[in-house]
Amino acid sequence: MEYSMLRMTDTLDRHILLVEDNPDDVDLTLMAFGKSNIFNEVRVARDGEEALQMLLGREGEEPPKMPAVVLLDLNMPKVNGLEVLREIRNTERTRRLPVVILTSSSEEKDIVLGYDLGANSYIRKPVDFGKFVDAVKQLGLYWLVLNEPAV
Amino acid sequence: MWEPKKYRLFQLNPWNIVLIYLVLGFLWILFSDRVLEQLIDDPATLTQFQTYKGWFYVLVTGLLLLGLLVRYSDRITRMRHDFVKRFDLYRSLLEQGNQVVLQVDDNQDFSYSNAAVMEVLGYEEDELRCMDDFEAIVHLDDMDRFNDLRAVCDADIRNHDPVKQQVRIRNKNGSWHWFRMILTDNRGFEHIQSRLLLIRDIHEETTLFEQLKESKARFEHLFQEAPVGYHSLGSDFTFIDINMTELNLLGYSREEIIGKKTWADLIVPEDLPTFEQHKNDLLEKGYVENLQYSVVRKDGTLRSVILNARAFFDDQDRLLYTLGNVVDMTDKLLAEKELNEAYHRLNYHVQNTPLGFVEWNSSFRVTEWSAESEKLFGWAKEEVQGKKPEEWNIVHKDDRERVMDSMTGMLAGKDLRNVISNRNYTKNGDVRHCVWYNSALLDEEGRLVSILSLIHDITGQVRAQEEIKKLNVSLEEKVKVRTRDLEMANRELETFAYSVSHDLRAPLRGIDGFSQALAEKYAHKLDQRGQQYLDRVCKASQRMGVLIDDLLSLSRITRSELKKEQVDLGVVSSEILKSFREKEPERQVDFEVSRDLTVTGDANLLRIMMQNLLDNAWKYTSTRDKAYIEVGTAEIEGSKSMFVRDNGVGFNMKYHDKLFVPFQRLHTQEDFPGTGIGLATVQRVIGRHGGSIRADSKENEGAVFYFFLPDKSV
Repeated sequence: MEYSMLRMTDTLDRHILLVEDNPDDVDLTLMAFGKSNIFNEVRVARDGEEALQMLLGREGEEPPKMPAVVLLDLNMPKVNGLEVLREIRNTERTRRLPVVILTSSSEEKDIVLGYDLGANSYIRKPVDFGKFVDAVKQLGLYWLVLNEPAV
Repeated sequence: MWEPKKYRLFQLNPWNIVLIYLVLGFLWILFSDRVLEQLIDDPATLTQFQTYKGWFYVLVTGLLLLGLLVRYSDRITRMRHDFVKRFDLYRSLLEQGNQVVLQVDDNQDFSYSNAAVMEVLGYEEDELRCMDDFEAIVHLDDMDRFNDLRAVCDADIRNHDPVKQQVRIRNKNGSWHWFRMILTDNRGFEHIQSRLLLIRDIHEETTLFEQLKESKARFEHLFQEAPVGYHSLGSDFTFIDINMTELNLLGYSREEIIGKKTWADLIVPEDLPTFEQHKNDLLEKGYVENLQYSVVRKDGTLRSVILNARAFFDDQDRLLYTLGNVVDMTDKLLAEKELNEAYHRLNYHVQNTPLGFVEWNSSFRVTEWSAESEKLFGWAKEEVQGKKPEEWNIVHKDDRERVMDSMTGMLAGKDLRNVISNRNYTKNGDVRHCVWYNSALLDEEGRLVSILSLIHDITGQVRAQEEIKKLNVSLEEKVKVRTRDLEMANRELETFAYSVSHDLRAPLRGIDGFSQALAEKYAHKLDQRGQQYLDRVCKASQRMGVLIDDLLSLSRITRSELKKEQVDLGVVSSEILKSFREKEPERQVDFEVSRDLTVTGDANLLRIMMQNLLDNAWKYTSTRDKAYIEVGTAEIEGSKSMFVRDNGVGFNMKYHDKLFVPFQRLHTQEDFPGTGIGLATVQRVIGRHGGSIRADSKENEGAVFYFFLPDKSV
């Protein structure tokens, strides 16, 4: 218990990176986190390009702090989610970073491709807000509390 | 036999001679003195002459006596000589012949036996001394006959004909032979009464006779049963003999023919002139050959025969009889006629077949060339007869080598048939595409006799095929373009579905989410009605989410790839119903799933199908106290179909058409919730498997869905 408390503090320090282009979904996700009593800092990337910048930093600058988990939407302008995922897995620094695909799509090919590219989990956003809150709550509990990250 | 005639002259009785002498002497004594007294008067002279006359008488009598004695002596000498000659002959006959001769005296002892006893029977003279001695050597089976013979010995044999018996006698060396015993009266010289027993070896004779008999029987059989009719006709051409074969041929009995019918009676009137010629030829040449006749059987039917006959004449060249043989040619002639007709028919067909016809001999030279060949290639038969294919310009130069290679096997007598497709030239140099159907005829030794070729001109087809090929190429191009278009359209559709999934759901989530936020955070600023509206907004957006999801899954069924395997729908149904029961344990639902519901299809899609069908059954029986669901098989229009039956609320068959249309529902959301996508999904799954589905129901009386999945679903 003591150990787990210690771990909790450790992961709770870290922020969550939410990659989502739809501002409604951003707000709803943040509301869901609030309702689930997850108070970690949530940083939002509005598209894939921004997400990669936030993860890998700009050249010459000190690399940014790693998030506890990346919540990645798939359908985004510029660089889409799967491309972001591929980049994350191809970069030494972010190779073992937990990435959860959080998307509206339940297309089989998206799911398969997502796992093939190294997604740690694939969650479909339910339309029902109650269910969505439920999903986010469990997601937070799992990735922020139970899961042991590599870095 | 002795012949007394020869000695008749010497047979004057001595008493007669004496009587003649006495008469002559008396006459002489009585008249000679008177004649002398008349002639001579002188007594002295008379006395003298009487003396002379006495001397003369003595002289004449002496001479006569001498002559008589000489004659008798001569006769006796001749008789003796004759007798000795004959005796020698008889003795040699007796002794040298192979006939045993035994003289039997009254005691049945043998008073004489000849050497043949030893030579023929092998017994010494003293071994066969009386009739009793035979009892030991005569075959037991023949003993009765021997005794019959013996009995005659006791009888008076003088008026008896010779008695003959055939018996087997054992030779001295132990072998049995057939003998003929003849007991005969012996009337020998001086009429001495005795009996002779003659024994002759007739073994060979008997054997020969038996053989002869057998041979005669064989000949008779041959004569009667020979496959050829035989007959003999008398000088007036009336039948005097006929064999069975010919009787069968004519249908008459022997009695109806022999002596009653002439050959002319049996033939048709048209053949009478032939018969006249036939008779003339027989008389002149002595034979006739291969004459064809139609004979009329007793039953009136006609038979065609071939007749050969030979005539036999007496010393004066008068016809005695004829011998003839008759062969029934009816069947053969019929067969020949048929063969001939068949030949002509075949030849007609060959000459008139729309295919070209060529026959080649064993050295591959043309022997037949049909009119159609001439029409096809332009050369007349005279132009090509006797030519080899390389000797005139018929095979296309680029095909020559291949054609000759293909024919090698057939010309060597190995291939019996082949089909060669090649180009040919016509007389005027045109190129024709032809198929040559070649077949070889071989003799018994497997040597090639001839080759027959049927030629099919496929130039038109080949040109048409080339045309088709060209069209196909352009068609393929078109198909490619279309496919590309279609693929693009499909991609667009997929993109659309994808964006429906993604883009439509996102705003819905917004509506639902923010409505709930509104309800939670600003509830105090809304009255009850406002809150109800908000609730409805949430519910509507959630339902729309479900609709979108169903729509997507429906389209996924259409797009997903079919993986065929054996699926037991019974097992699937039981699993599904079990899960329903676990979800709603409070419901009373009986279900019955029959065995043997195995079909071929995509396990995933079939599970979705059963899930939907059973879901409906479960849903529409929810108002029943005792629900019943059955999955089974039934024979519908001759094929094995499956069904899902329930005792639920059913539906009105009036709306049957709308059952399988997506989003069409027959019940309200309040009564039975749903999106109206279930049966549409079922129909798509069945459609993708090449099957069919139909429903039957009455309102409030349950529903049954029959579906058929072919074994080899598409």
